[in-house]
Parts: sequence; C-alpha cells; structure tokens
Amino acid sequence: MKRRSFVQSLALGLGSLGLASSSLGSGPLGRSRARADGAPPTRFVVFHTPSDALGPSFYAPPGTGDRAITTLPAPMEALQPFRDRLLMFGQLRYPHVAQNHTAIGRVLTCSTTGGTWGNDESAPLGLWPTGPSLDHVIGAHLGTSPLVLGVRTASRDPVNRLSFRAGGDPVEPFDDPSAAFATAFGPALADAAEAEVVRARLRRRASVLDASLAELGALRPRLGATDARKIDAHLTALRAIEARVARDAAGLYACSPDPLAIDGGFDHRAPLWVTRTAELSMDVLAQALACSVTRVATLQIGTAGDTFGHRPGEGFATQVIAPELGIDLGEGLDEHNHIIHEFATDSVGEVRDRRLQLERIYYSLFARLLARLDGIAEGDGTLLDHTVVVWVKSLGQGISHRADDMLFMVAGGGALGVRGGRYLDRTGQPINALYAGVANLFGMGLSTFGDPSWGGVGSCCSDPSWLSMAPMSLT
Amino acid sequence: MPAAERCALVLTLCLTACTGSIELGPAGARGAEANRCALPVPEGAGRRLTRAEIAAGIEDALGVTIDVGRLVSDEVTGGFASNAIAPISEREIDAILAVAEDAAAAALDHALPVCADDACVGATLDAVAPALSRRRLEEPERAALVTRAAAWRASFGARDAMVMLATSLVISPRFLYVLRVGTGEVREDGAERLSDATVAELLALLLTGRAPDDALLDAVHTGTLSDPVSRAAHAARLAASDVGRRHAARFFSEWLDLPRVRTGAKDDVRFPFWSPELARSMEADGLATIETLLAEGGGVHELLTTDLAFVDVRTAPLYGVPASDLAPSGLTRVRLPWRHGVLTFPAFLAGHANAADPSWVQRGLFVRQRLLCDEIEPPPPGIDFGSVAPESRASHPTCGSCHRAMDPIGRGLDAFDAAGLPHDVLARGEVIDEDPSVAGAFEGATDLSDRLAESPRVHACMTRQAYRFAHRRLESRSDRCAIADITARWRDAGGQLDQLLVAIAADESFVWAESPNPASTSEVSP
Repeated sequence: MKRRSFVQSLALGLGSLGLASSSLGSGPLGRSRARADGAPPTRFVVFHTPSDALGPSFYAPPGTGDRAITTLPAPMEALQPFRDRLLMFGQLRYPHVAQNHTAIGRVLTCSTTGGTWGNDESAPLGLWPTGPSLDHVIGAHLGTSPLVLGVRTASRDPVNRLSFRAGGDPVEPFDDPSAAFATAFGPALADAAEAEVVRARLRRRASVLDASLAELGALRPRLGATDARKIDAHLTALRAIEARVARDAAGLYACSPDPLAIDGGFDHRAPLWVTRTAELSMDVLAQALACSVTRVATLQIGTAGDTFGHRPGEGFATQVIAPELGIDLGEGLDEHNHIIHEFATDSVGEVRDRRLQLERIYYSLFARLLARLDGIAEGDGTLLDHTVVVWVKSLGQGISHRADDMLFMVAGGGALGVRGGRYLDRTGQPINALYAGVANLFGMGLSTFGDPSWGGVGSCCSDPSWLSMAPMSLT
Repeated sequence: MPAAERCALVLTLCLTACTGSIELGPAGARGAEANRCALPVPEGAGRRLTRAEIAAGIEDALGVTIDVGRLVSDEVTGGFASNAIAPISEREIDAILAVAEDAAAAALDHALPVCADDACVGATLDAVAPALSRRRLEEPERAALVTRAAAWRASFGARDAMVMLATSLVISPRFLYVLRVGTGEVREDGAERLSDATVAELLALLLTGRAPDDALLDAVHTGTLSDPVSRAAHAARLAASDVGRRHAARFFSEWLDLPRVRTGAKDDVRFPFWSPELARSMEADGLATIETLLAEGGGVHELLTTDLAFVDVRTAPLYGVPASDLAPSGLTRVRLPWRHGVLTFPAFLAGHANAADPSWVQRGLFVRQRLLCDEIEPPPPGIDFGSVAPESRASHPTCGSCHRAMDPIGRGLDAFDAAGLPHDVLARGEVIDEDPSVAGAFEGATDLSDRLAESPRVHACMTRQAYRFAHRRLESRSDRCAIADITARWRDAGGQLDQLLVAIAADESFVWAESPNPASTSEVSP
C-alpha cells in the first residue's frame, strides 16, 4: 500500500466511510498508518455468515467450563494459525423467537422487530429492528462510520439486512467490491487523460449536488417532523457524497491502496463467485482500516435466507461446495438453504458431509479475513492486533434454526487486551452481554447493550433479565 | 411469572390468532364517526418513489428506458413496494445520480436539446419538468432553474449544462419524494385537507404510477379535485387508459407475487424443462390475463374463475396447446380446460412451491393472508421441524392450530406440481373456518376458487390489499371505516377489478391526511 498524497486530518466525510480525524502517517506497502502519537488506532470488524455451527459437540474443545483451545475440529483447521488469538463463546443464545429469518435484524442490534410477518399494524417500523447495530454504536463512539460490505445480500428486506444506523434505518451493503473500493479510495484511473475526464465529470456532479443540497435545505423547514427526518437523512447522505466527490475531483487521498485483483469473468452477483467476492471485499475492508478510511467495518456474507444460488447447476452448492467436497449433490437440489435445513445434530452420511463442508468454507473465509488483517504490519504488531473481529450468525441450527447453543467468535484485538486461545462456556447467556463486553474494549463503559424491550414484550421464551446481565470479559 | 408459564401464555395467544380474521366493521357504517374514521395517514407516511416510478418518470421526461436493476431495491411493506420507512441512503443516491446522468446524456439532442439560450432552456423545462416534478413549474422556480442552467452553461458548456439540468431534476426531492402538502383546512380531529396539487400527484401515482397528465394538471388549476365526483371521473379516465391498466396489473402481480416464479429453485431432475425464460413466460401469461380481465370488465369472480390464458412457444407445449394454434410471435390468447382463476396460474403455483414438491404451507398461507386477510403467526421457537411429517402437522399439539388453517387448503392444490403444471390427480382439500361462506371440503382448485369467488371476505380483503398498495403502508385501525366504505362502494358499483383503485381514489379519505405540519398552511415553495 503506497501513499498517494498526504492529507493530514482530512475530513473526507465519506458518510458511511467518514475518515477518522487522526493524523495520518505514511507507510510502506503492507504497513498501515499510525496516529501522530505512534499508536495505531483501534478498530472493530463484524463478520457474518448465515447459519450457526453444528452444536457444541462439534465445536467445543475437550473438557468442561472455560478452557484453553487445545485442538480445533477438522473443519476449523484453517483457523489453526490464529488459535491463540481466538476467543470462542460457546452455547450463547439470542432471542430468535418465532421470527425465524427476520432475526437477522436482531442479531447485531439486540432489539425488537415489529410484528410477525410484517402484518402487524401497530408496528410502525414493520419488521425492521428498533435500534442501531453494534458496528454503528461502536462507530459513533469512535467518531467513524462503518464500511458495510456484503456478499449476495439480496434485496432490501428485513431478512437481508444486518447493519443499522438506527431503528428502521438499514445500511445498504456494498455487494460489488469494485464499487466499495471506488467509494473508499476514489475511482480507478488508467492515466492522466482519463483522470482529467473523470475529474471534469466530478466537478459537474459537485455543482449538481450543490443545487440539490440548496433545494433540500429550502424544503426542510416546511415539512412535518417525520418527513423532515427523512429529508435530514437525505441531506446527510448528500453531504457525504459531496465530500467524496470533492475528494475525488481534487485527487486527494489518504493513501494509495493496492488495486483489486479482479479476475476475468468476475461477476459479484453470480453464485460461482461467492468466495472470490468475499475475498475481494476483505481486501477493501483491510485496506480501508489500514488507511484509516474508517475504523469500523462489517462484512455480511449471505443473508438469513438462501441467496447463494437457486437454479440447478448454477448455485453456490453445486459450483463451490460440491467440487470441493468431491460429491454430486444430486436430485437437482442446489440450495444453500437445503443444506442447512436437512441437517440435524444426528445427521450422518452425505447430509452431514455437505453441512460440514459448508461450515469448512465459512471457517476458511474467516481465516482468510484474519490473515488479511494480520498481513498488514502496524506498530509492534499487525492490524489484527489492533482490531477486534466478531463473527456473528443470523440463524440457528437445522430447519428450526434453533438458537440456544450458538458459537460466536472474537478474534484479534490483542492490543486492546483480548486474551485469546480460550473457549468460554456461556451456556444460555445472551449475546448482548458479549456485545457490551466488546464495546467496553473501546472504552464505552456499557453495562448492557440493546433495546430495553428486547427479551421482554413479544419475545416468547426469552429472559428479560438478560439485559441486566453483566458484560462479558474478553480480557 | 415463571418463564415456562409466560411462554405458554404467549403460545396460547399465538395459536388463538392463527385462525382469526381482522374485522373491518360494517361496510358503510361511518355515520357520526366519519371524521374519525376518515383520518387515514399516520405520521411518517411520506414515502419515496419506487424503482418502477423512478423509471417511469425518467422515461416520460427524457424518453430513455433505464435498467431498474441499477437502482437499490425497494423496501417492501405488507407485500408491496413502499419505501415508506427506511430513509434514503448514500448508496441509493449514488445509484440514482449515476442513472440520471446516463439517462440525461442519452436524451441529449432528443428529448433534451442542447440549448444556447434561456428561452430554449425554459421551453425544455416546460416539456420535461412536469413528468419529474409531477406538476407545472411556477414562474419563480422556472426562472431560478433557467438562471441555474445559464450559470452551468457558462462554466461547463451548453451540452453539459443540459445534462446537469436534467440530472438535478431527477435527484430533486420534488421527484423522489411524495410530499404531502396541506391546504390549511384542519378538521376537529386534526386531519388536514390535502392541496389539489398533492391530490393530483397521489391520484396519478395510484392509477398510473406516473406523473399527472395535462387534464389532471388543468384540474389542479381550476381547483376541482376536492370534488369527489370530479376526482372519481379523473380516476376512472386514468384507470381506463393503457398505462392505467398496466399499472393496475402491477398491483395484482405484486399481490400474487408473480415475480417470485423467476427466483425459485426447481429440481432439474423432475423439471428438466425449467428455465429462466420459461419462468418469464409464465409470469407474462399471468400479467396478460390480468390485464385482459381489467380491460374486459372482470371482477373478483372472474379473477378467481377465468379459463383465459396467454401462451407462447415455451408455455404452449406445457399447457397442452398445439403449436399450430400459436400466433407467429408474442402471446396467443387461449382458453384452457384446467385454468380456473389466479390460483391455477402456473406462475403463482410455481412461485408458491418448493424445488421439487408443491408447498401446502406457501399455497395455504397465500389463501389465508392475501385472499382472506387472516393473520397466521410464524412457527413458535424450538420446534424441530424435521420431526413432524407434513401429514402430521395439522394434528400436532403445537403446530396444529396454524397448519390446520393452511395445510388442508394447500393440499387441495396438489394437482398442480412444483412447476405449476396440472396433472390428472384428484386433490381434495378443506377450508377449516368458522365462516360458512368459505368453510368445508372442496375438490381441487376449481371448487376452492368457486367458493372463494363468492365470499364477501375475499372482496373485503381485496380492498385491504389494494389500500396497502395505494397508500404504500399497512393499514391502521383508523383506516378500517374507510376500507369498509370503499369495499361497499366498489361492490355497489359492480365490483369490476379496474374500479377498485378508482374507489380508493374517490373516497373522502384520499384527500385528508394527518396534518403533516399543523403550522403549515400553504404550498411548499422552492
């Protein structure tokens, strides 16, 4: 990673990618920027995959209670290099309630969602959650806005969105790594001539945005409160775009990242390219953190539904899982959903093999993210040491998506005091206690996390006392 | 209360709700409560345009067809595209901006002349702006835009200035938002009468998905839209137009979720003929059939019983239509012996099925929620679905309450496979319900559809679905009287499908809204 032009404390104002106002130092390729005081900034990353691991009999290391991670099961072998920097929280719960796939909105917000299938007339936010997600809460504390990336995150629907600025305000993930890269680091320019053409277009765009901002500003005082809030959000987004356009037009960048290695025929929308899209998104994510474009990032792989491919022979299962597993999925059932649904703890044979292989791919992707962060030197360690990475899942096991023995992982964060290499048995404890513990690594001093009504009203079978449960310690 | 008891209580409530229906109250019973009942729009009902509406506006203004796939997908509420809750995002604006710039550039020298002077810019605005602003520009704002274009012309040249002008109209909040403007006439209950300009805008979007036409804009000028007779006449005129019928068909398509046929997986062993193109042909069959019913005055009865179909080279052999009967190209109108209304549309049936097998749940749930407007709760937590066979669900102590409401209905559609195609199979089903107009055993889709076609509940439910589509939100309790009135008026007028949205537009609830801002008493000015 090379420095393109030094911009001290430049408020890029990327909106969703607001540059932390730190003094940026230059760095050689593979080394990130440090603050003026020499200490690398602390960062937070969320990693999401659709479905949980296969139960504690699969993921828990031998022994009882809190214990060292001595061995990892075979599908987790890709994580072996990071074993000592992993914290595994076993048998956690979250109020999955009866809403099944809509629980994705709860998993990072610990908030309620309105109604049931969205037909509840008393739920003004429909099925959207009622509070902000952890990435935005920590981002607000750090003075930065999260970069939210996605892999086949599908349409804007409560079963598909993980990251929320606020209640009812879902963040649209970048599912195209190239678009995310251009937003974070500016457009790719082949030569000076192209640069001039692009910058001329950006100057025109800036002028149009100026006019639009003026129009919105004039309109706003005449609107009712709710409509005015929507216009405020519009204004905020426009200002962010305006700042980004100004940055791009002037060619002012905090650093010059390595360009994305886009393969021939790459299509981020195609199931065949799921894992490659994830890898490219990790490249954007790691470099955005290293360049201090943002200090918080979320990578949402998949949704709480089946978005990895549907049509026989074209899906993620046929094209990615089956070849790696060396099996024929047969029967034309090429659905990620099918692999998840058909599995039960006592499943055997190909049903179990398919599910394990799916899990192996997810562990492998997580390991690639950690390796990408660990490959960037920073201070006395690496970017991973200064980054707390949390892996969350939006659905529980099998067809019922039972969510009472979930495995959540925290990785990295050694510089923040995270003590890895441990499996912490947290049977029946809620994820909001984990989230409060994570937030407190950044000095937030939370006693709990989430919407107070979560775990109470409308939350069949969950325990209201969860919110008073002490934050989990990660140190 | 111990957790187990609490759980049991909630579960009991849940199960009770599984077979309930929402009462709308007696049709037409507004009487002394008319004002309270007519207060229809909760705070926050202002919405953004849907992708289809954005595309239509750009097409009408600039003559350019855009790829809606480049825009961020719509937020869906109550089964219909709404964009009413989540605020706009940076990525959405990015996408709209890029589409607008490309469309404006493509329109140069066509709908968008390269103007060298203010007069040309003004004339272009007169031609282009109404389709985007959904009104005629007032002189001060027209002059401001001409001045802005002149400044851009001086800085960037005439061609770029025109692209910038058109782009600025597309990303304007005037285009992207449906902003409710009141007249200042406030009722005792706080509802405020909407301005004629707002009513015209709402009317045009409801009936055509596009901006008001000249006749509607003239009506704004003459101040006649507060008169329900005038409003109904405009609504009927728009509904009878080609664009109106296409738009009404969009409502029925979203209601049936016909596009879902394009995204569902199908087992390639059982259905080797399945392809994305076939799915599109099935969807086109459904849309064409609905558009034809709209044009020919069909009602709910015809919607649920028609034997009409539209086939092409892909669907004809599967539908049992000889190739010799096909038109040289496009769709051919036919009548099919097995076709009996929307519940037998292959696009509907394949979209509400699993990869290999029909789905009792998906098909039964549709009938419950979208035809009868029943509430069906999602499954309670902790159920191991794999341990309950489909045949046993209805008698299961936990699952039974809801599945008794869905599964016997879905089972009755089993003569149609997961690809939506008919087989000579006797499928018996049952509607378990307290309402005698729909309850009882039935034999196959024809019997079920005939029963539903005569049910007052289906007519009332259809109004509710249309009301959600019209207002792009879920209805609230305060809407119930209005919905009952609309149902009665629609029924009394003959119950034709093309008159359903007209009845909503003609209702008094259409011109009143919870005051967007009590202090606001005038039109919004730029």
